Amino acid sequence: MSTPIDAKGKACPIPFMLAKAQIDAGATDFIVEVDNKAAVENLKRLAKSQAFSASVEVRDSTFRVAFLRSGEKQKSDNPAPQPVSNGQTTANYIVFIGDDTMGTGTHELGRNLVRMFLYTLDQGENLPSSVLLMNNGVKLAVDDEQCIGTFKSLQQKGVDVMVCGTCLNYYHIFDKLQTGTVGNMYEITQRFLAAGKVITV
Amino acid sequence: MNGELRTILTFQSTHHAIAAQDKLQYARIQFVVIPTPVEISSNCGIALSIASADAENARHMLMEPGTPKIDAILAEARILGGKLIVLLPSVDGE
Repeated sequence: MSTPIDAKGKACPIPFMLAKAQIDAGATDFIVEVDNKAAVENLKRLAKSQAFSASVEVRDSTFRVAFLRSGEKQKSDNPAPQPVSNGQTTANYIVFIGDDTMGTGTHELGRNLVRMFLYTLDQGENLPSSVLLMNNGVKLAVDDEQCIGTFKSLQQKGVDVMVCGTCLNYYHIFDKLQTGTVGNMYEITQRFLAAGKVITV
Repeated sequence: MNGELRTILTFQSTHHAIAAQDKLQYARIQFVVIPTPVEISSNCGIALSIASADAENARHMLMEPGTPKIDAILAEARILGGKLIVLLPSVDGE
């Protein structure tokens, strides 16, 4: 086993990229050291998608994530989620929510509008493949009871709700996330690029 | 929940709909903010969906004297197959 890769203090998606570079170079057994939970989650997901096992060891405030090849690598590096299997999705589109309100105006009206938008989306037949929450938008999955319920319902129908980890970290609400999958810019950008249409709220 | 009876509150103005949320929150009545169903009004507006079991309590809260009166119109609805189906709008309220 080679020297551990030191990714402490590195913001996402650097640890992810460093680990990915190792895998791409053919490494089958290596360790990445990081200092935050978001990075650990990202690394674990990377390991899974690349047919590696990842074991995590916590030492002081350092997380040592040990990668070990466990099987054959999947064909696609990190496939964007496939549209809902129950036939409810008819087009490949994603919804991007970059604020905790909808439109420009007062906060209370904007918050009501975004709740109603998500409610209507969830009631409809044509569901997006992903809903991406970024910047202030992540707060909807943290403290808005109605939106949290809607996100859970969408996820049950196969919609991938991805929440920006950097943003959760910045607003100090990482531990308060109620629903959704934490993602980094690497995964978020991939979803933008793979989408046929992006609806920005 | 499937088959669940809901009561839909619609309002004269969006400001009433927002004021009503504060009152319901204070009374610990759970609500869902929804677009006003077209069966009730063609006016695009904010409506609130509450459990029908809370309807009487909600009506009481909203009409309570001493606070600005909030005119709410109550309509019955039922959740069927995950969708909110509006039954006949009730005639009371306003």
